[in-house]
Amino acid sequence: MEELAKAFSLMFTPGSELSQIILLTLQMAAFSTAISTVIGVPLGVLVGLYRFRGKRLLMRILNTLMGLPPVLAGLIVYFILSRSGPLGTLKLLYTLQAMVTAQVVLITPIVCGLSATAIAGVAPRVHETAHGMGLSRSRELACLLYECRSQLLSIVFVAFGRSIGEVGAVMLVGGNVQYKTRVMTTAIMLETNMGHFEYAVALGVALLVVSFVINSIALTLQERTSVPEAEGATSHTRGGRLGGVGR
Amino acid sequence: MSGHFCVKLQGLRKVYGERVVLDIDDLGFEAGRSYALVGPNGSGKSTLLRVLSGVIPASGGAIDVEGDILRDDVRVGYMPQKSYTFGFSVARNVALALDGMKLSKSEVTARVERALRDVGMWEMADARGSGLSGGEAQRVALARLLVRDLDVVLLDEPTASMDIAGTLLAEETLERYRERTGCLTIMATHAPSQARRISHDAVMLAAGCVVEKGTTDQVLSHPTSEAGREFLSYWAV
Repeated sequence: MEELAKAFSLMFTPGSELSQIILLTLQMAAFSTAISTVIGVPLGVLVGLYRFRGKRLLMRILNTLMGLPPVLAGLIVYFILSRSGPLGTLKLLYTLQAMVTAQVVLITPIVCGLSATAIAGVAPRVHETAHGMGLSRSRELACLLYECRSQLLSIVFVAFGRSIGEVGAVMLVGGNVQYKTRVMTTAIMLETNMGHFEYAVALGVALLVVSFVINSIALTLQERTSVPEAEGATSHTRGGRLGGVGR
Repeated sequence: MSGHFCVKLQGLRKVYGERVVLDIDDLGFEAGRSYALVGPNGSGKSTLLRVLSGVIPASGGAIDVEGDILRDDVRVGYMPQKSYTFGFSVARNVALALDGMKLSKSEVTARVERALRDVGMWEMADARGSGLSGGEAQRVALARLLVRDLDVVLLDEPTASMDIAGTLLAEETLERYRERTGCLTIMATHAPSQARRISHDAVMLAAGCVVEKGTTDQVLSHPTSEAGREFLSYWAV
């Protein structure tokens, strides 16, 4: 119990290793979520919105990548960033950037796939309605994103949750280097292996608290922005005009 | 007021894979008149409206406009069977339809108020669109359609979720709008009584083809085709 209390007091001590680990964990999760969102959401919107040749195959690939084992993602990034790899000259291995890269590889398919599913569920009906109202394509897209904001927000928080709790990939490409790449999950592993169970438990509790706070924010935002479900179709012409062959 | 024009459909087809869902040889709709589209489920009523509105492209044939107006200048409004009500306020839902029309704020406010009053939804102008009942949502969708000046109004069972009071109010609103603008109205409906109340002419579809056309009374009281008589026999029940 003494160890546990000590560990908790260390969390709130500026400059301590534990507070630095928490800060680095949050940094890594925030950066990787931000990058994955910037890449994954627009791609997901495009995939969900448009019909194109190979869409089904793309969705299958995305679904497969959504279940990509973290160790495999770490291994891929490790090979790319290792000294003999294509990006070895950048010397990024065992840095925060390497961990963020591995996380982005892991999370982006999740963000993209879930965004595509969320958009595809609402887009057809919004499209038919917007078309009938004669709305421009850009206005229709804005309305669609507004209607899906709750789901998209949830997806971002799911990505953050996945990122903050990940261990395999960050261990491989980060190396769990003290004061440099040690994050909460890798620290828990290390402390457990060293027999410092109280310290590991305190870290685990801290991780849970962070996840709880993030999820609470997500749920609150979701409740404020929630809208009912919808359905619909996609057209080839803009609204306000008579339709016809291939228009 | 819309100029006088006629929408002509020739050889209009819609095919999904091997399945022909719409096959219309020759059909015309005249501006200023109101048409009822009737027919059993799957007869092609909704498909015809979706093709006319441009939501889906036709697989073949032509939609031409003859008269005082060019085809690309015809302003078409379409209310789908399951219209989507956006999550923001009812008033904003209606105002959205005026987006890009370069109207002053006061003009937008006045139009929105009139449209919502016409369908009996002005008291709910500040309510969120996502919390409306089916009938209320259809009233908002109708207001959103009629807030604009249109030449062609396409409606797919626009009163299906409304109660009788709402239905009569919507029909009255549509009639006033048609008289004011001189637009062409085409409305799919399942109710013969409604077809008689709101339309001058009727077109009956069966398996994607036109089986009856003429004045509403002619089509509903004196069908000439076997498919028309069979369909109407259920209505008699």
